[in-house]
Amino acid sequence: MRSFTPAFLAACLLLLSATAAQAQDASWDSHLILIRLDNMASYRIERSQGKNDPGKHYCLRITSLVRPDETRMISVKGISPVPVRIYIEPSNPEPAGLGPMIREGGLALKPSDQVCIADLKSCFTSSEEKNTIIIRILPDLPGAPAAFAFCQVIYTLFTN
Amino acid sequence: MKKIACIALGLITLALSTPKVSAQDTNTDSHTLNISIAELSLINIAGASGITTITLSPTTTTAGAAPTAAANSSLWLNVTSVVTAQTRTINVKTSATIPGFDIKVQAASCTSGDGTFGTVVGSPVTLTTSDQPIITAIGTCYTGTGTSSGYNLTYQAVANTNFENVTASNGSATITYTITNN
Amino acid sequence: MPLIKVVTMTVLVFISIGVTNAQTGQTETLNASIPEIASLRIRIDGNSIIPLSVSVPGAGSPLTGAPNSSSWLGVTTVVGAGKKGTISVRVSQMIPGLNLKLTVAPCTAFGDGIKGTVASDRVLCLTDQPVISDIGSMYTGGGVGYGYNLTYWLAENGMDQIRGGATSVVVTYTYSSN
Repeated sequence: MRSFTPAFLAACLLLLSATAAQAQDASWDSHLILIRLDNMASYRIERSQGKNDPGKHYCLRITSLVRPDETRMISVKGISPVPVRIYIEPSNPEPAGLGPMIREGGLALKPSDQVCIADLKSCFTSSEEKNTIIIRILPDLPGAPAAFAFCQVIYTLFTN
Repeated sequence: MKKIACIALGLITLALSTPKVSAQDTNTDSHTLNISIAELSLINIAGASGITTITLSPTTTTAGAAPTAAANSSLWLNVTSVVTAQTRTINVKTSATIPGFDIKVQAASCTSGDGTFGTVVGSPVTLTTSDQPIITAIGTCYTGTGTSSGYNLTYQAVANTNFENVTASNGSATITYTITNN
Repeated sequence: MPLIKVVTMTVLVFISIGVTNAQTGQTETLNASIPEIASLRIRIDGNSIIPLSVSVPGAGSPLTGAPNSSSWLGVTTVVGAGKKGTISVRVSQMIPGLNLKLTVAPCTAFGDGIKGTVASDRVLCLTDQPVISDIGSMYTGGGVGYGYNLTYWLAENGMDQIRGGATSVVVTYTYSSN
């Protein structure tokens, strides 16, 4: 005949009480919620409506979600029949998560990539004029007229 | 010749073969019922097929837009409550917050069962690690059991101003509902 | 003179027995009358207090009351010609949000006579209501297992009025005939 040791009986009691605890409702209950965040990068250039500053105005809209070890950057390159300077400015208020960008003095447009926004991590600008990145493109000739010929500007997002 | 005295018989039994004798038999009798109603405070989270784990996957395809997750309304709160003189509140809290996102939950009014269901908080509650009320002024009630009974819970994940600290990952949190006396 | 032992007393019958005087030949007349009686006794198992409560299997479920069938109603009665007996029941108080319910089981195990018609699933209230009707002359026996088995239970009737607590309700049974 099998003998029931104290340890065996204690284990049975524990199992029974655990089962009973699961079967009985109490004054509290909980559940699990899982948050799944996939990395993403989405950006778009749009014509901007506002501002009286000289030059052509554009909005750069970005949604970026990076992995823990990733950073991103946006570079600009282009071809223009006349020298062109690009000024990139965050709006006021500034979107959170934007890394360093060329703020003062702008960038002279070149056919090769130049970083205009560095260390881009997770961020989203917005769908409105505020909380976005404003790009102004101006001819880089002292005294040059406001109108200028066709100019191609290409923005590229790189992930490190 | 002997006289035979008249004998009057006073007693004849009729058939109560009882072991006890009742001292007084009348046309009325009574006894006492002891009624005892216990206070109850029971809550259960119900999901389809018994599954209460939900997943929120914020995303977007629109450049510049904040990632958002489709709202999840698959969970229900079932409650049975018996009060004495007080009312009760259901509080909710999370075990952890998710960087860059507010996890919000809102309860819908209960339309099943019977009793005093209380008042649901009118706007979504942004979950923190501290208890916050989501349903107040609950009295004695029962909501019914399972999904489609009780208070329907709607969860959302909304990007907040701390979004720069978000990283692509799979996180989790335990959401706890507690019913307490006011 | 031999003594006649008395076991229980429920009926008084007076009979005068006459004797014949052998010498004179006198006779006496015999008059017997059986009065209409009502005897009502409740015999309760154990003590005379009946506990009743409600419970739920889990969150979200309504309250249900477990039945108590430990009480028995024993009856002995002799009714007049053309009359019927009725046993009515009332309670001393109502309980907010809860109905106190009663089912009376027919008396079948013992006894004899016209035991009447029993009621089931009655909501008890402050005024008398019949629960055993059309009783004729009969007896049920008394004690646990004899007579009409009484089953009490609580049923929800207005959840928002129910409050936790304890109270006592006196249930009174009354016999009448007409």
